[in-house]
Amino acid sequence: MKKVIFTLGILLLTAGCASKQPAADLLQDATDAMNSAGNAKECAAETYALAQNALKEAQEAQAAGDTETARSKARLAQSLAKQAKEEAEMNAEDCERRKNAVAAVDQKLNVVDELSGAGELTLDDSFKVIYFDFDESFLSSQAVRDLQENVTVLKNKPEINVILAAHTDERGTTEYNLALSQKRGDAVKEHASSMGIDKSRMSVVPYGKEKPASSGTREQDYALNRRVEFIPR
Amino acid sequence: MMKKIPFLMIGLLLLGSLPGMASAAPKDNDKAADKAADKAALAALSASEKAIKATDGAADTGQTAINDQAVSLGVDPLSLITVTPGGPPVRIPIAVPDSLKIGDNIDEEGLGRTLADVIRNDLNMSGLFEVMPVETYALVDPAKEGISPSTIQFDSWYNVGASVLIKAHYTITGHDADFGFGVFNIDSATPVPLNFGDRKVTPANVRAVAHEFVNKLIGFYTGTDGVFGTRILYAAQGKNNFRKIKSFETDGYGVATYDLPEAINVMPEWGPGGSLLFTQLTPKGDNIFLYADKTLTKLTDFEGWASGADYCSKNGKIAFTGAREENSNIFIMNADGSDLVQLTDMPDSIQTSPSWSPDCSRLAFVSSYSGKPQIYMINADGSGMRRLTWVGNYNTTPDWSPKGDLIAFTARDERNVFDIFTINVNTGEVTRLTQDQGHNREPSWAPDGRYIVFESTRDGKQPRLYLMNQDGRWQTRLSPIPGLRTPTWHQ
Repeated sequence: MKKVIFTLGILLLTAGCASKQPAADLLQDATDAMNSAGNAKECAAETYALAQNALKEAQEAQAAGDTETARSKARLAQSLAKQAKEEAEMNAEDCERRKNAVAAVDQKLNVVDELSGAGELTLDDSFKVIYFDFDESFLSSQAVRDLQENVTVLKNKPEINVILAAHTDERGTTEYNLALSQKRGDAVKEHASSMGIDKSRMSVVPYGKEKPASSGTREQDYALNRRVEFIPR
Repeated sequence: MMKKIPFLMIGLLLLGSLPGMASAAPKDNDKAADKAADKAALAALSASEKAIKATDGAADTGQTAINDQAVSLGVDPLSLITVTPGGPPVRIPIAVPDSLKIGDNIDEEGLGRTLADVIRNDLNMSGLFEVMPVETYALVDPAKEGISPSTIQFDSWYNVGASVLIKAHYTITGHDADFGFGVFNIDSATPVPLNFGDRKVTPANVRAVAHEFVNKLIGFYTGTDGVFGTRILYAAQGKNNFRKIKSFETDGYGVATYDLPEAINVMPEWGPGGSLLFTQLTPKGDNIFLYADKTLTKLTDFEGWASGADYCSKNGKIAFTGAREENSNIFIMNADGSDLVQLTDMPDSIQTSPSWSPDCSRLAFVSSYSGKPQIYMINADGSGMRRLTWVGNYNTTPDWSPKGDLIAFTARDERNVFDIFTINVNTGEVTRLTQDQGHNREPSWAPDGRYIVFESTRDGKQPRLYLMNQDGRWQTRLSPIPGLRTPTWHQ
């Protein structure tokens, strides 16, 4: 009963001040935000757990009559829940992929690029993805075989020019990975050129570690990410 | 006389923290019992003695000399102490009770509480102070204390374990408040002449005022003001592997998101007048953009790759990585993209990640000319190139310290783990700052040279931003938000 009076008192005190929301309202907002966070629990687990924890602390503080702490923790929970929802949305694709089976190394990846000022680019099934060893930019024997197939496609379709989108795995630092991916792209371009493809038909674009094909942290995920993709331009 | 006080204070404070001293109050001696702490405290004692002697000696030679001593010895008393990174604390114990409200008006906005919270957090992050736990202030009951020395129960504060006491008091008018600040030396029961005047505090400026107070307090005790409340740029994970460029204040508050086209926007850097430089990765190539006055300008037009701008305000030049044909080299241009000059011309290797020296006469950068990436230096006119790092096979992301003596960088160790190191430009001495805490990458110096901000995966796969002292101590998380990369502190 005391608690009710206390809460009422706070409500009366704050009634004249629009900028100060009652803790109970903030708690409700936070709970709503958690409930509407979609698949955040699975796809943004870390942030969702932080939000859950903040909400729990807010509820405990409210129960203990510490409304200031309850308010600030409730606000934190709400903001974390929103963040988790946003993260879950951007991770959705990877999250789904993880839930389904792990892609085989030679699986055709159906990734859609929506880059500014460049329209849509789609990976073309007729080209193979060229994969690389850790920290290396030389072409393995498998890579040379795959590249040979791509060269054949380019020879059969002389009207097509390609972007060589070059990538690394997530290990390493941002800009050095850009450099390493560029070397991979160059290695592919040089080799294709030596097999008779005019260099002007291929342009290397390094992406470093910024566009992983798989977001996992296992060795097979990394292997999927160390790649050069042929994208018709 | 005023000039001497900070020195004597440091001496007394450090002396006060020495275990087993007769003057040591019934404080918590658990930490001090640690052998390493003993060693550090002894070193501190020796340092403080030197400081006192230096000040005494300088007293005869006039104010300027004292001032010089204050700068040379006072910049960072902790730098005089030899400890291993992550080693024992030698911080000034300080008590920061809740702000004291005067009058009956209700503090609707929680200004008093916010101000005290921000001050406590900054002081703990500073690595220079240790805020005594608020629960222990019950020994004193600070709410019943006044603000003048005669009403303060210094003996009780002494038993809390603090050497310095912060007393903020305020009166409320509507949503705003008038704040006054008192700082006291608990050992001598006297006010500390910080001379931080009264402030009009509003919900909009309360955090800024708290940061300013802490910065001045740090300046008083060390000779160089603090940098709390300044901004840090970073790239944040967005949808579909896009990246957003954002910034926040040193404690993770005040997040600002730049209104840029959706794209892979990475490697933000501060440009002229606090503007934004960043790299955009697109199928048409990677290029550097300037975002100033809400206007986006493409500064480079490389078909393949240009990235990683580093702007120097002293010569107005941007250094960056460019690859026009096959392999990458270091380029320099004006801040509007004009006057492009290729600085390095190394064949068949990677040259990347230039970082200006603080006087803009030299650049540190990464080169794989020897086979694996190493840190090199070169003069701004392209002369005098030399290799700096000789240990390890993956040394990248050099960032030159504002004092000019150190370069922080990311190295990969023999276990394929990434950590932050520094190398002394003059002696070549390498120091490891992080270890066994996930991967730690992409260091950036604070403008005062005391701290390094960096990304760390110690809490999960997605990196979060952390802060540490320049020697690796006091590693603190700035924000719980994951997926934040390549931080850059505003210089």
